[in-house]
Amino acid sequence: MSVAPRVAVTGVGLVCSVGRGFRRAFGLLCEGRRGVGPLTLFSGEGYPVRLAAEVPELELEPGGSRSEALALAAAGEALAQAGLAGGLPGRAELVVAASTGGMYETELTLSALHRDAGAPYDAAALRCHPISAPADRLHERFGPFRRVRTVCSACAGGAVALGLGAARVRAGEAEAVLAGGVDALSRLTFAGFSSLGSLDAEPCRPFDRSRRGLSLGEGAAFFVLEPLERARARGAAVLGELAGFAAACEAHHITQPEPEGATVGRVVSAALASAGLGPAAIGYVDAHGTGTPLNDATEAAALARVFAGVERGPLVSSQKGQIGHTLSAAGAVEAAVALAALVEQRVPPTGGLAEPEDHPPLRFVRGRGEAAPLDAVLSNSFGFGGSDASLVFAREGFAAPAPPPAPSALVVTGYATLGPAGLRRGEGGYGGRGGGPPGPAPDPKGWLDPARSRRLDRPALFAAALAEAALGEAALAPGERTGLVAGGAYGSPSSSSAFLSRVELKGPRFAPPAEFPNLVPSSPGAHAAIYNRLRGPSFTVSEGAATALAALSSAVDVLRDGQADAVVALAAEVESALVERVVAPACSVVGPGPRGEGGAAFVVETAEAAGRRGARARALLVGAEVWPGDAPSAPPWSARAASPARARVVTLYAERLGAAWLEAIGWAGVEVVEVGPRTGWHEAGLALAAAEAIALLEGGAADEVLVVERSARRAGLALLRRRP
Amino acid sequence: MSAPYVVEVKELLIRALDLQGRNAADIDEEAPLFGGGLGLDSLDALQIAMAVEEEFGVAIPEGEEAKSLFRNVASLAAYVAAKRVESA
Repeated sequence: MSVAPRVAVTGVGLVCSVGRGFRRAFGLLCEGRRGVGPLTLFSGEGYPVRLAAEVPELELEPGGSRSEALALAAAGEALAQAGLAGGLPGRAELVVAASTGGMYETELTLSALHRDAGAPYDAAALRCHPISAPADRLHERFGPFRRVRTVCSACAGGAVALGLGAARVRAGEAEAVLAGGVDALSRLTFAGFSSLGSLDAEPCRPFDRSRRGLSLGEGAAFFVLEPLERARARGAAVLGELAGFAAACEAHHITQPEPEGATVGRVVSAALASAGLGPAAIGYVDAHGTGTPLNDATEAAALARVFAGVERGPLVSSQKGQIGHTLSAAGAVEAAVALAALVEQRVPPTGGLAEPEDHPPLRFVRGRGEAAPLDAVLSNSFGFGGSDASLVFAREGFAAPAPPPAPSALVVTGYATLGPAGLRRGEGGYGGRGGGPPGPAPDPKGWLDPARSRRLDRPALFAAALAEAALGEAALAPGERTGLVAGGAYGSPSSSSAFLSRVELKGPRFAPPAEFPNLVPSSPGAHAAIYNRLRGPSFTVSEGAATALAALSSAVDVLRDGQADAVVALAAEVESALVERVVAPACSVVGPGPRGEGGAAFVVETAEAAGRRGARARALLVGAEVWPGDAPSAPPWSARAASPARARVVTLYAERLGAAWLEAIGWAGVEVVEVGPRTGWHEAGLALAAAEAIALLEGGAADEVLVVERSARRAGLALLRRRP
Repeated sequence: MSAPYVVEVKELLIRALDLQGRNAADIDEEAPLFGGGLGLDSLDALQIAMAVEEEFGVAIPEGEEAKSLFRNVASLAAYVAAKRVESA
C-alpha cells in the first residue's frame, strides 16, 4: 500500500494593485502599501463610491482581456519559479477560479445587444467573454496541460481551485498542477456591489470598529503544486506544503453570512484536521476580512471559538484593505500572501485597521509587518451563497496530512432530468422514450416551494428543482457530507446584460440589488445547495461544450478526496437568444437546429456510503474526464470491457465522432445513440446523455455505456456500467 | 378606504420582490415586513428602497432612520406620502 503524495508548493506568482511578484508584493504589503484609489477603468459617475484597487499599467494582448493578462503574468511567474517554464511534465493539469472572465471587455457590447438584438458587433472580441477563457489562454501559452478546468465559487473560488488541485496531486493523478484564481474589475461587478450598499466610501478597514464595507479589487495568483517526492527528486525548491483544505456550503443565504459563523468554524476545524494539526500549530491566520460589518464580525467570532483553547492566539490580518477584494482571485492571492509569511517568517499587517474589535485570543496585526516564528498558517475565503473554504500551509515536513480514503467504487443512486417534457425522475434522458424536438421547458416555479424559491431566477430554479428531484430519487437526506458540483458554461449573459443596460440607462441608483447575486456564474448551483440544504463543498465548473462532463469529473474528484460522501452533480442551461446567437458561436460552440434548454442532476456516492445507508445503486460511475483539444487521450479506465454488442456510446451528434476517432479510443463497432436532435446542443445536453446512458443500462440494452463529447476545443468521456 | 399610497406600495412590493400568488388584499399593512409577516430580509430591503425611489421618486435614507420606515407597509406608505407632499 503506497502512501498518498504530500502536496508541495514549488512556485507562486502574484499580481495585485499594490505590485507584482510573489515576494515583491509581499514586501510592499508588509510596508503597509495600499493600492485602493480612484476608479479609472470606467466612469464612476452616479456612484456614491468611486474607489477600487486597480492593477496599474496592465498590458493586454490584442483581443485579450484584463483577466487573461493578469492570469498570464501570475502563472508565468509561478512556472518560472518552479523551473517548469521550459516544459511541463506529461501529467500536468490546470485549474483556474474565475467569476468575471472577459466581462470588462465585453459588457458594453452585450448591454447594447440587449437593447437592440440587431446591433452590429465584433464576434472575435467576444471570444474572451466566458469565465473559462483565461484558462484556455493559459493552456495556449504554457501548455499542454492534460486538463484545463475553470471553477467558480464566487469569492471562495481561488481557495477551492487550490484545494481541487491539491486533491489531484494526492490522488496520484497529476505530476504537477497549476492552480489559482483571477478576476478583473468590471462595470457589472462594481454596479452590483454598489447596489448592495457593500462598498466603503474610504479604502476599507478590515476588523476595524468603524469599518463600513469593502473595496473592490482585481488580481491573480497561481501556485505550482506537485508531489513532494517528485519535487525533491528533481531538485525543485519547496516553498512549503499545502497541508490542509476544507470547503463547505452554509446553505443559509445567497449573500448574508450565518450570524454565528458555524460553518466557518466547521471549515476551519476541518482544514486543520485534514492537515493533522491542532489550532495551537497555527501562528498566522490570513483572514477573509472584507471590511464589511457582518463578515468580519462573523469570521472573528468563529475564529475566536476555534482558537479559544490555545495559550497564545494566532496573529491575524487581512490584505483587503490594501489590495481590495479580488473576488475569485482572493482565495489564491491571499493564500500566496499566507505562504509568503511562512517563507519569510513575517506576518503582514491589516492595511486600514486602526482600532480592532476585541476578539481574544486573536491578535490583529496593524501598521507594518512583524517578524514571527511560523510553522503553519491558515487562509480563509468565503463567497456568495455561503461557500466557505480554508487552506493550511506548513513548513515542509511539519504537518501530518490525513490521507485520502481508500479507493471506492462510485455509484449513481438517483437522477432527474428536465426539458420540454418537464421534470422527470429517473426515467432516462427525457428524450429517450420518444420526446419531441428541442424547445423550452415548462415554467419551473410550480416545482418548488414558493416561499423558499422566490428569489431564484430561471437557471437557479432549474438547478434547485433538478437537485431536489435527484435527491428524492436517491432517498438521500442531505447534510454536511453532501456536496454539489454544477456545470454552467456561460453564467447568465442575458440577465447580466439586462442589469448593466439598466444601469447605463437609468444610473447606478436603479441597479436592482436582489438581481445582482444571481449574476455570479456560481449562483444557480449555490441556490440549489441552499434550497436543498446541501452543506458539503459546493462549486460550479465551466468548460465550454464539455461543461456537463466536467461537472461529473470534478464530482468524482471531490468524492475520491474524501471531501464528501455524496455529491449532486448537475448541469442545466436555459434558453437565451443572446447565448444562442452571439455568445456560444463566438466561443465556437454551435449546433444544428435550436439550442434548446434543460439539464440533469445525478446523486453520485461512494459505494461504501451508499451501502451503509442501504441505498440502491442505479449504475456504476467508472470515471469521467475532459481534456483540451481533439486528439483522443483516453484514460485507461475508459477501455471497453463489454463486447461491442453489449456496449453503447451516447453523444449529442454522432457525426462529430467518426469511426476513426471511436477506433482510436477502443470503441469501434459500438452502436452510437445521439440525443442532440431531441435535447438541442446546449451544454447540459451531455448530462441528458448520461441520464440516457443509465436508462440503457437499467433497461438491459447494454452492460456498459460511454458518454462522449468531441468538439472543437474539448473532448470528454464518462463511463457508466450496470450496477453490480 | 386605505391611507394614501398603501395600495400602491403593496403592489410595488409584489412586483419588486416577485411575491407570487399574492395580491394587495392578502397583505396586511400593519403586519411587520421583516421577521415574520412577509418574511423579508435585508436583500429585500435594498430592493424595496430602489423600487420605491424609481416608482415614486422618493429616496429612502440609509441606516437607523430606514428601520422605522420599513416597519410595515403603513409606515412606508406614510413616508412616501409625506415626501411627495413636500416636493409637490
